[in-house]
Amino acid sequence: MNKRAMIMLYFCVFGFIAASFLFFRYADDYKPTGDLYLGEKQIEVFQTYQEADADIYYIQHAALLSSQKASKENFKSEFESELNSYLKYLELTSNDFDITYSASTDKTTIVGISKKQLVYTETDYTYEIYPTFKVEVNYALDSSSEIFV
Amino acid sequence: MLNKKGQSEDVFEYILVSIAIVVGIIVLTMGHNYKEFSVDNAMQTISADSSDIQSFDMSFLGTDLKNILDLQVSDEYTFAELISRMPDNYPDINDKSLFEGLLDQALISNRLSCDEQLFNILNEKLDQVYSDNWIIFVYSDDEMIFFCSSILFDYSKVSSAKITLPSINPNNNVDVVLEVYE
Repeated sequence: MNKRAMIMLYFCVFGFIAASFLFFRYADDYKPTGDLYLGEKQIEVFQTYQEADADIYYIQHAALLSSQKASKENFKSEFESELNSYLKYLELTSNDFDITYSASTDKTTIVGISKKQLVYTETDYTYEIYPTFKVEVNYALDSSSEIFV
Repeated sequence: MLNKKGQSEDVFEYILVSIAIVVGIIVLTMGHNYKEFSVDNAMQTISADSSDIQSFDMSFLGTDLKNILDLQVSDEYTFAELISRMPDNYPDINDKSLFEGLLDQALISNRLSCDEQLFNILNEKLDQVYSDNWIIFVYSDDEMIFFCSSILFDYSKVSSAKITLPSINPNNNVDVVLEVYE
């Protein structure tokens, strides 16, 4: 080896020694608390899905209760007012949803699609989802109803 | 033959390599003898402790709870709809129809529990996965207002799942908890 190139060898030796010390010195700082299982991070991702699923279930159930409590005469305003009260829990309002009312002969279907995302921020990732709901009432709101106004 | 300058450079390299060898031996000896400096210990920070994996059922109890909530427990109500009506019937009963084959009420504490008919509907689904080792609680304002279980003794809890549901009163949500024991 060229004598001038020998300086690279010194860098390598000192670099290796320094890297070894740094690795052992700081490795413990990154050790997670508790046991680390195979697939633990992946299970955390699925648990985030479940958390979001529970919130979507809450919205679906809130819409169902709201539809049961609203009267046929003032369905739209009462439904959306009730829904609004329930959605405060998730910091949403009924105005955050595009709500459509589809009436057939013997039932009315109400579908809501959120314009605002539910956001779940975890240590390594963020999960965002637009919640939806779909409920039915077993009577048809006719054309004189306010939903068609 | 090297000149004087070349010989002095060689001596410096010998010294340097000797120091490096000594330091290397010390590092390797520490890694071998002291657990805190072992490579295994350091590698645990980036790899799993063992080849064990967590139980899938126990990690995803929330899915089972959601399916249980969707069970049709009477002609009128799903289990979730029944739970939403519980705060209105605790401690005083307002809707007596809920106590005809669905709910029961303890005499002294007024706490709600499941009637045999409701228990059988829930147990038919839960028994397949958790045998008789399950309990369902409902909390309103952190107070337990309902429980349903066949467990008579305290066992060690394995896992639990919680879902928050709206009740008839929009200002009073309820927490539904499924606990599984072994």
